[in-house]
Amino acid sequence: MLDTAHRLRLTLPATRASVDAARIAVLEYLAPSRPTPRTIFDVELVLEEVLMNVVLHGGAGSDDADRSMDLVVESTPDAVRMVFADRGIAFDPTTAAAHARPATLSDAVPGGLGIDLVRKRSRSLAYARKDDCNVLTVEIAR
Amino acid sequence: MELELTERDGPITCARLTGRLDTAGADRIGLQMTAGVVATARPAIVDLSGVSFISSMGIRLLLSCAKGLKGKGQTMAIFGAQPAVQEVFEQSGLEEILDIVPDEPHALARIA
Repeated sequence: MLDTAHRLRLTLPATRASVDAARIAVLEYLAPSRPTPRTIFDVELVLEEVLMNVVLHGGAGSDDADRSMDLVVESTPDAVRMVFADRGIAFDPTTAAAHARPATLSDAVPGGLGIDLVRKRSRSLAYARKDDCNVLTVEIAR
Repeated sequence: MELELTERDGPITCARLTGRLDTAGADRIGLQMTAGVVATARPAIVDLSGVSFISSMGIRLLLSCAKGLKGKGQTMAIFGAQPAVQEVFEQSGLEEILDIVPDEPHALARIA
């Protein structure tokens, strides 16, 4: 749904199925502005990593349809701005420790890469805890 | 996400992935890939030339398979990653330990 400022607003259950639904809606919203393949890849990667982090780690359950995630997407001439909000466990990805790079395959632990990828793919990343909500704003350069 | 498993002389396992290796894709092929690559306990090569997108959940599946095979004394090499996918590997810091090489001849040499 578009608001009066032509931003895309989505409210989704905190489930794995929501991630693909969000991706499709965001790509449809961005299509008229003709994003580059690189921008599309970055947007898709950030969407998946942030939303899956909420799904997997934001609540007591691993896939909790009773929780919801809000997403607002704004397309500007030089960036795509995405604001994620959820009422899950407080988590600030801007200060979370970077994933330790393993030296060998035996040392490698599956998981924990998502936030690192969000940092590397975004132009800016800002976090606030407001009214018991995690609010994460991510800007992707066009 | 599609997964095609074939057996080559050696014997080795060849896994050819096509589509998006994101959460949905990894969920779709995870069991089949683990059974076809890890459980057979043979050296394996993984063709990513048909993969247009990868996320941390996709990397997690590849890492789990590589670790599983290593636990059985075997190796797995990944080849054919498109430039955008290759960049994600590089940014993940797992490029070297996952044995990611440019093409199939390099992959076969890596597991020999």
